[in-house]
Amino acid sequence: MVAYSPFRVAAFTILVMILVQKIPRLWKLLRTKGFKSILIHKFSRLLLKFSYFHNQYIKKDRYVKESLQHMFLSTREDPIHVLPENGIKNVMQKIEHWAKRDMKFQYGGRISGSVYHGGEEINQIAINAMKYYTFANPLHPDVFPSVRQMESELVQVTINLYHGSNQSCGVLTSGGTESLLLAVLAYREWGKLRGIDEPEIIAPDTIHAAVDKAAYYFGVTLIKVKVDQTTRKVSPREVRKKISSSTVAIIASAPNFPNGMIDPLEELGNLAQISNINFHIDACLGGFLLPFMEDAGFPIEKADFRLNGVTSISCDLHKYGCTPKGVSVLMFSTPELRRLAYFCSPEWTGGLYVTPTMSGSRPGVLSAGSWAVLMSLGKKGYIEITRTVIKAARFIVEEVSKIENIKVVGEPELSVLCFDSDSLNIHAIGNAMTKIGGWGISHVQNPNGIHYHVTFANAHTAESFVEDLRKAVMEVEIDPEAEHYETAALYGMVAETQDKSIVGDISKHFADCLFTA
Amino acid sequence: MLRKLRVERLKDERVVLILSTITGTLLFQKVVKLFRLFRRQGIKPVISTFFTRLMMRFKFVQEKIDKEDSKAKELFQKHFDEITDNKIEVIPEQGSLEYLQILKNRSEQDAKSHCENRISGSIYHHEGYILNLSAEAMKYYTHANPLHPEIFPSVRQMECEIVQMCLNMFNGPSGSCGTITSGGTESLLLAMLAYREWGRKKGISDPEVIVSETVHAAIDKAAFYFNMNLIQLKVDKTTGKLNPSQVKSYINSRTVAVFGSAPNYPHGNFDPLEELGQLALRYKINFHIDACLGSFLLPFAKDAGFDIPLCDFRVQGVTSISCDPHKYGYTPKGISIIMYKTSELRRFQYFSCPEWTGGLYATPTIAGSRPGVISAGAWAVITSMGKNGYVECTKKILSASRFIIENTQLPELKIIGQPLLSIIAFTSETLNPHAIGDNLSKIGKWKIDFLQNPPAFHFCVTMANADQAENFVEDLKKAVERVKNDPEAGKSETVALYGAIAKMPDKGIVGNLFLHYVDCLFSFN
Repeated sequence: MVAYSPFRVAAFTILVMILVQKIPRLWKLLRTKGFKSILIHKFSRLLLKFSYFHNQYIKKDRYVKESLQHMFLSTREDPIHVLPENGIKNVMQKIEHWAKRDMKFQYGGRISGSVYHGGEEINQIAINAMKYYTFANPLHPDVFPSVRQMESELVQVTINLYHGSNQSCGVLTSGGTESLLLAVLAYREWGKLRGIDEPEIIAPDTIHAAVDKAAYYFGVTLIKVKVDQTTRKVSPREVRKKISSSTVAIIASAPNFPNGMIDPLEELGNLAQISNINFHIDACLGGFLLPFMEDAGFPIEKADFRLNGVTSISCDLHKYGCTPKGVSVLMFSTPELRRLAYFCSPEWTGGLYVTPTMSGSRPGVLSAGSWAVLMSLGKKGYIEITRTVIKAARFIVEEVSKIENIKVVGEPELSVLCFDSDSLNIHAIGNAMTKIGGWGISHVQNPNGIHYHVTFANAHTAESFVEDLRKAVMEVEIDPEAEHYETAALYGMVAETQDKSIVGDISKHFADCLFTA
Repeated sequence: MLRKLRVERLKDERVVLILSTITGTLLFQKVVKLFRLFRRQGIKPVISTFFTRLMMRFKFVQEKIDKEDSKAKELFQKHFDEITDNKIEVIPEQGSLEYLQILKNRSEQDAKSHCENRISGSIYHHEGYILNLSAEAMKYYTHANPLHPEIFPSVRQMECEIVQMCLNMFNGPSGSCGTITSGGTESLLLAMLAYREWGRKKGISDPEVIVSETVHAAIDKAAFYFNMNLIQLKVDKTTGKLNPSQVKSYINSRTVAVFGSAPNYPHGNFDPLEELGQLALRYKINFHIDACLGSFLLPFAKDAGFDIPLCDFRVQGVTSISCDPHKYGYTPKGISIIMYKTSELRRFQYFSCPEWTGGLYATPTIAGSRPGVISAGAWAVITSMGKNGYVECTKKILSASRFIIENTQLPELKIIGQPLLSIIAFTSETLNPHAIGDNLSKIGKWKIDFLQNPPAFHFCVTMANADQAENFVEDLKKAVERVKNDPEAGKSETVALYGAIAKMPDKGIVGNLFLHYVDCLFSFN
């Protein structure tokens, strides 16, 4: 028998205590990330310490860096590095030249999403409005009272489109990402008030990456639920399994970016209500199609505040609202929730400081432009746009389902279409589309696919889209080797790499290139 | 029997020992946490907040606060109602071009509601050619989105050029780099994020950042958003400056960065950048210079004939600088630059989501989609101003602010510290500074900014108001005279509000009152 020593007992107790205190964190890590992916991550980081693997990594890294740099620098024309001594006299000439050069991308009608204008006439209205407000800053509502009014009107109009109650309120943000960030922030703070120190949010894995970003920024744990591989919708039952005492909210999309599906909002809303947690609908993408679907002749299920349990909705004006880029609305069901997204520094030497969103100064010019677009289109204008877009989308779905070796994923109800193939490399088909008709296609993964957003700007090219897709499928049937297609090769590499954080590091070259003159 | 008893006693002893060790350890952990809290925030504020929160449990205290709350709500709603007309709450059934006329009228109404060239800061240039030029450039890019560089290659080029020009103005060494952001707040948020991640890589899970109490509130915001600890040090009451040796005493193994302002927003003073840089260098931590406000005045002050401290990448130990072209760069609102000494540091602010079902996703800043239209407008303004254009403007602004400083040396008035740039903060030992500020606005329709801790107000000289320096001095003298004769003269709600705050032990309650102001920003009722 070991002799009894009080020191030993005390030391042992402390050790056990520290270990016990670590268990919840470890358990949480295992529960959210999965044992396998943690192991893979640790293992591949270990492998990288060996020079053989490290060299291979460096090689891949350099390959991506060089091809990205090449891509970006090829469009560069006499770059300026130093502020000119005397101002450039013919600045406008240069801008006009550039704008005309880039115009073919914007107005060619062959880009998936990205450009959401409402036609030249509407754009002209925005331009006319913006010229009065180039320097307007809503941070100073006393200096720019009309900007405040217009922003309030944009928010109120959107709340009414989404059938908000008289308690509903909102804020204007710089885009879908900020709207989602602020929603997650509000729910983190909501949890804090209830003593939840380590909040968790549940979302389908098709949710926008901005929710991941929010989790990373604000120290919230995001639990992703895999969507059903045929319907591409999240199953409410799977979501319910993940709800714990630390859960603060469920976030779902209407529709999601990768596949264009609307999650089962009604069930999720009920689930949130029963569990006493929050429910956010991310309608950033389809924001200005959803409220007009019924009037345009395409009734769909409800996706607004009339559903049970909905506590917030995000909706981008700068997508199907056809406004200038940089305007989104985040709506809350009560003013108490909205306040949780504010920031307040009452003691600041620079005076009382409170901001409703992430920014301090904000560009009022975008709000003015958006206001003019919204008011001059009116409800009828948006119904017209919705009809045009959805008609084209339905046409594409119908025609593509007739083509062999390619299929439409799920049953898209809105404007985002996703294609997959059982027999061919879908990324190769996407590459072929770009080569054949200069189509700007988005590539998606997990599972692989290509997707196309029908917009007002590209709706008129629906027929040629189908035509070229047919040709592209034929081309890949003849030459199915994935290596021969750039993006297919890239996504092949990603799929091969087990530890995705390595891919994350490599993909940062893209961001590096953005600001390198 | 005796043995059995001994064993039991031993067992008891062990249980007691184990229990007391557990309690002791838990207590120790709490004490460490409390100690850190005291060190960061000071003992007095922590205790007074605790007690006020306790007090609020009493019904009569809560009732009193509720009363104040509804008073504040009413006040702000009334204020905003006065500057609102013909509200639109539902989307018009039939859209119409008439709304463009309404918008034009509204913008004209704005111009009338304030005297445009008597506003502190806010509008940095008001001459027609700058406005026209940016409007012209912007009309080609209303829908431009730098998130898609392949669709808008010219926007990418313009943004690169703006970043590169700024790096050169701030003497960035080779390898220095930057990104465009939506404003000073985003630049500061990203710098804080980058240093959090820098710390995480070094195994710091509870990062601390040391700043002066005069740094911009956006740093506070970042600490709140990103779960970081901010240590705010008091500045010297006369020089308005941070004491480097005090900073030194707060640096520990959890410190990731020191932030300094050039100049700070409240008082227009420069932090001791060289000394802070030396400290950062010595302790191998990061040092950020917040030049958001000084922006395009700083690189040109010397050529304009004014002496200011060195505040660019030549300062030893600097790892990042933020600078807002939308202030003294006279560009449209919504653009700022965050610059880093190395590209490794910049990568800490990136976000990437390699597994996203929507494809490979990596963004350099907080936003996803961004307004390329602002970058295009900014590029046009910056390149057409050129170095000489900026030197001219700097000369005009700094001359005006020196004129104000020299001509407001009154016994009742005190300028805080030694402002070297465009911001001048006034306080008073004998009179209520907020009352002076309030009278100043009444006498000459001046729009000045109120400050607190200590109570003061400041004026920020811009191209739009530089011509008014003489009038400002004259009206300020009148305002001082008026308050001297009648200390109660024209005390407005704002003055009362700041007075109330100063009396409150827990500022959080006042903060809550002020939330009504923000509520009103996007609502009609």
